[in-house]
Amino acid sequence: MSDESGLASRLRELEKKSSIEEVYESSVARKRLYILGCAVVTVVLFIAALSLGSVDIPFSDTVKVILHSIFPFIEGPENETYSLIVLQSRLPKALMAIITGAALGVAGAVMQGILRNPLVSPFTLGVSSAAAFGAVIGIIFWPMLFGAATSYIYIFGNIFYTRNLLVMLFAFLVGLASVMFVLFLARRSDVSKSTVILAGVIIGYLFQAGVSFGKYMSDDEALSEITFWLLGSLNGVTISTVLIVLPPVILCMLYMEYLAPKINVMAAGDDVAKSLGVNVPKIRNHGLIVATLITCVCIAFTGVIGFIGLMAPHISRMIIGNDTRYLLPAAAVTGSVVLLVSDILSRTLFAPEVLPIGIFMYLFGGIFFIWLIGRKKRDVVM
Amino acid sequence: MSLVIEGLEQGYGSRTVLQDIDIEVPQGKMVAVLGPNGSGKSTLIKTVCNIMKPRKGRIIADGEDISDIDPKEFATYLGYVPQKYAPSDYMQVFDAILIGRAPYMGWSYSKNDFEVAARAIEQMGVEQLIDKNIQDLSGGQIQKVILARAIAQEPRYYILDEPTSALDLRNQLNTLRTMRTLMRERDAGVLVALHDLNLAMRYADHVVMIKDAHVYASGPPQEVITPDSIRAVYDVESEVVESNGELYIHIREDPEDVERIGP
Repeated sequence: MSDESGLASRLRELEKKSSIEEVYESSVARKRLYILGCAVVTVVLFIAALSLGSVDIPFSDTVKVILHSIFPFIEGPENETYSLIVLQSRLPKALMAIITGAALGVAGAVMQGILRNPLVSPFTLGVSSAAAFGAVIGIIFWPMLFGAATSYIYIFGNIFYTRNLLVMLFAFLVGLASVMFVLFLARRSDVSKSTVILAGVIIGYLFQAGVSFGKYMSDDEALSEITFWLLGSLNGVTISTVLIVLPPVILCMLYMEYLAPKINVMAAGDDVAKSLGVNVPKIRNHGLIVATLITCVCIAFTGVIGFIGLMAPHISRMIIGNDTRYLLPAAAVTGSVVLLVSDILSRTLFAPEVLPIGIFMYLFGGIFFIWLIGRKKRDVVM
Repeated sequence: MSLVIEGLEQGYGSRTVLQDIDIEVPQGKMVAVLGPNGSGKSTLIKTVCNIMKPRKGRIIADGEDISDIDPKEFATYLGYVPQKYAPSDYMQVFDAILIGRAPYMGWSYSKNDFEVAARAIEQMGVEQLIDKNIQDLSGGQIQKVILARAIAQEPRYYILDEPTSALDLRNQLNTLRTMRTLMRERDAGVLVALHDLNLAMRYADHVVMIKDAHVYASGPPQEVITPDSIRAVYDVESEVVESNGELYIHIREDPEDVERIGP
């Protein structure tokens, strides 16, 4: 009798002890499932993006083209032009959509984590306005000073016009400079997260003024170029762009994933994080700079593809919770999915017309976001 | 072995909040810091936890100056529980508690991490909450979760800033009782800032009263918490009542205050 009750209490004890581990493991399983699910959706959308457009290519032929290009012994599709369309035109854009979506998603997730503010993203911190201002300088003021440049250089076998490269370089540098400036301002008035955010917002407005001034000063041709840049587009993307962007994006992502456990601790508050041995200012500065870097690298080539940095982390957070180690890959795949869907819609809905990708991203993402928030509220009420 | 605060001076700008503070927290003892609002209790706690650098003086934990301790090891010396805690959105309770294991983890948690966390959860009685979202908890429940996090951290000294401020009567008693049990089991020291004189009287081994940036009185609770010291530090009239062998503080209303503010 006493043996039995002893056993029962031991069992109960064991149950209790394993319970946090069980809860944790099951939550990790859920997180992995979400990431895996999104990854599968990404692959499907990737093939769809290669197939759909002004010329619709059967899925099977698209798969053949891809397999043929990787394993030459597998036969390609009968229609030769399919290979050309898929590999030359659509593949770089689809890859860039995946990379940019992932990069902006991760950048937003890191910024939200280290500043403990759900409203923060590369765009609310003024990076996009700054990068746009950089692009405007490149588009308008450079030709004013140096005349219409038609020189070009080859990178990985593709032509890049010097002028376009300069636009990208300016966007990149000014974007990066803005965050340096934000960090500098925040440092002078005690590093607290509200000052960082406020500084970011103010700097965003300053650069916005610069962009408006640039628009006012520009002729029709430059104005349409600026407008297109501000809306964001994958049109100019070639396979060389992908090759330039990919290495820094992967490196930045790995570094942010390395920071993830420390960012988790910062969720408990700066003071607690400090007492738990986290060098809060260091992680905050490094995280902000790397997140900006990854953002600038991508939007230098695509123009302002905003919102995704705010939306992708949020969607992921609502579904899988706050653990940064899983949130970063989740935000990455979510971002890729959102951008791929926007890309497909922008190319198919009014085909053969190609609309700027940003329009659909805001529409599609915004509606999905509203649905998520609505659902969340009902949950709380219930 | 003990945690020693030695000749501490601290302040903000030109304002000096603490001066010549000497406190010793021996292992296995609970030291309560008392004082009115704004007397520097939180500042003291933050300075001890190396969140603020002291203007003067030193904090020594088991013979080591805390500013010399490697940040990674620091968490094994001192566990900090803040007074206010604003949890991030979408954080789940088990994640919040496992943060206490962060100093010990690499990229993921070990079997031992979960065992320690499970014990902490049991000690704070929050088994039912672990799969909940922290946003959905009450203030008192959050406070318990934060304490469970600090317990999971397994520090040698617990530094608590008014851990009972959000709790109801029963939970106030439970929490301090748990801390005392824990302290004895693990031979840990506790430095706790408290508002409630009766809790300090009941659970603390040693009491430090702070007034005008200085230590006004320091010693065993029955010697320090007296009508005289309460009048001097809080400007409140009181008497000490004995019941069942325990001492209680009974606050008397000041007739002038009653006349001014109303009863």
